[in-house]
Amino acid sequence: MRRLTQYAALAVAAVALACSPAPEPFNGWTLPMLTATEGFSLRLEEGALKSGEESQNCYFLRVPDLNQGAPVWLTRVNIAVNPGSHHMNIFRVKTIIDLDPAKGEPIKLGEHDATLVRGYADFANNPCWHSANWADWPLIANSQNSEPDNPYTDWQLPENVGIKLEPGEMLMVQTHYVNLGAQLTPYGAHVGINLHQGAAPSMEMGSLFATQQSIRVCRSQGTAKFSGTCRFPRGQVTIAAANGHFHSRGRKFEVFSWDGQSAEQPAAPFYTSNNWDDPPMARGLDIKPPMGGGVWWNCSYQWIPPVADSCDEVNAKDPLKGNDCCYTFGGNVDVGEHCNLFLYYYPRVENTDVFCL
Amino acid sequence: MSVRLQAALAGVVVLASACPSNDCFIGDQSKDPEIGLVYRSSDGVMHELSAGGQVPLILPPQGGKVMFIGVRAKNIDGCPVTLTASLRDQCTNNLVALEERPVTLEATGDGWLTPKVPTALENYSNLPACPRASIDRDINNEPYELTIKVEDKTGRKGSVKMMVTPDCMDSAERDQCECECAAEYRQGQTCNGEHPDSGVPPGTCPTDGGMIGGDR
Repeated sequence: MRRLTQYAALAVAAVALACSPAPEPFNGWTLPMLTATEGFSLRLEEGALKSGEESQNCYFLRVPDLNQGAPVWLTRVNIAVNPGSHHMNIFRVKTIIDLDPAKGEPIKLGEHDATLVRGYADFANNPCWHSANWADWPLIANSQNSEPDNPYTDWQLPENVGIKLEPGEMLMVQTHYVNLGAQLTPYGAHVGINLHQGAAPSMEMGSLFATQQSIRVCRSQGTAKFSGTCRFPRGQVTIAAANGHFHSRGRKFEVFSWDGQSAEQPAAPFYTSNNWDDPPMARGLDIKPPMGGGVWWNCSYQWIPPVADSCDEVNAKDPLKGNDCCYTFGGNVDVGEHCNLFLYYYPRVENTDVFCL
Repeated sequence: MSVRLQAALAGVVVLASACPSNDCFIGDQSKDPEIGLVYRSSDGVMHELSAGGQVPLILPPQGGKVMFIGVRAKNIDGCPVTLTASLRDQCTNNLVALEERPVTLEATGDGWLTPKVPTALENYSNLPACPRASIDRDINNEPYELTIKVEDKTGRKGSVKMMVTPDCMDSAERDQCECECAAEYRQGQTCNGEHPDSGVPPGTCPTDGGMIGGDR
């Protein structure tokens, strides 16, 4: 009888092993190293993640002087990622609050000198996980792609539009890899970024970064929806690209063109994402909100239990200690939630980008 | 079905509809919801807000400055309500900000519902105030129209509109607050104790120079 039980256990284990989903095949990615005439290339090697692990890193580098002191105008951004990339954001560094490039370890990003502040999975304490800098660190570009079939986010900016970088300007590249639940990193974390320069265009690309942070998705209520609005600087602008960001409780992310005056939700979104772990990035948009207008965005959630952690961890993170497994704002995918909008528009008017909280 | 049984069932239905839907309803179902406004100060204390009142601009975890606006309510179900808050510039009719979120209210024993945990940021609208693009006047120490709408899960609605004055008074970094809340502030600008000047005299509209709302 005992032997029979052992055979049965072995059989169950064998079936379980055979039924475990194999990672989707991935053939890697290739990006050419750009010459100084073409722009500059960054390569971020981060290695393997253990099962159930996630990792966030913050890399700092200065824009190389490619044009004898003249600005670098980016007309194409091509980002390649191994599967499991949760996000990859590039910011301009302004006011330093805790997250300090001078406190990073020296590192090379391709041929470029940089410093690295490793965030590991320490979302509670490590400044690489904190968001205090978002208010005045304008976004330059981002990718949330995690597809093994097509690991590239190749963003060709509209004609006569470019992202302006000054030589010597400090940039921060933030990577976040996840290896748990529906988002897996079976091939290690590896990111390549090619920033292509072109002739000085007639219009500068601006960015809009909007975030809802006091969010709360609780077991007892099941669903929750948060909405916000954000206006552009004065003048007529065109929205060129957009993508929304939330975690695994996220069910629908919507962005609408908004007139800047109505308190009622506009009729039809120009961007919708139902996919938290590989959200679409809408490119080639030609959305012109009314003058003085902006965007309205919604984040809708359905509560589900954590995958790798437990409600004990979720409750421990809850500042209200509600003991209701309430997800609150946080970068850690399994125990925290997000509601972030990344959007790009032109022309960048009034010499500013836009941050909305 | 007998007439007597039908009458009994009808009676049950009538009684059921007269009762509150659950323990979260406070007040009288036959009356419209009554709404009062409250705000949370930086020390976590809840205060009543009346027309023309000042509302502190507070640094939230994400940076910038927000106003934590909540409600006290009755004749409504507080579990939860959808709270929509907006701030409008009457000079231009533009909305400076709008935010919508679910908020749970709890009975206080005096016939009213208030934010379940009055110290918690999540139980108030985190109405964004600064920085904001495309504003024509400073946010700090200027009158704006605040509108709060409340709707419970049964569709009962109430709203309040009043002029208020956002103020950096409660900010630990007053200089930073006044800088970020200036009409001429631009994202990424360094604030070194200087406040960008919009050139608009306080309490006036940029175009006609008239007083706003008469609340100042």
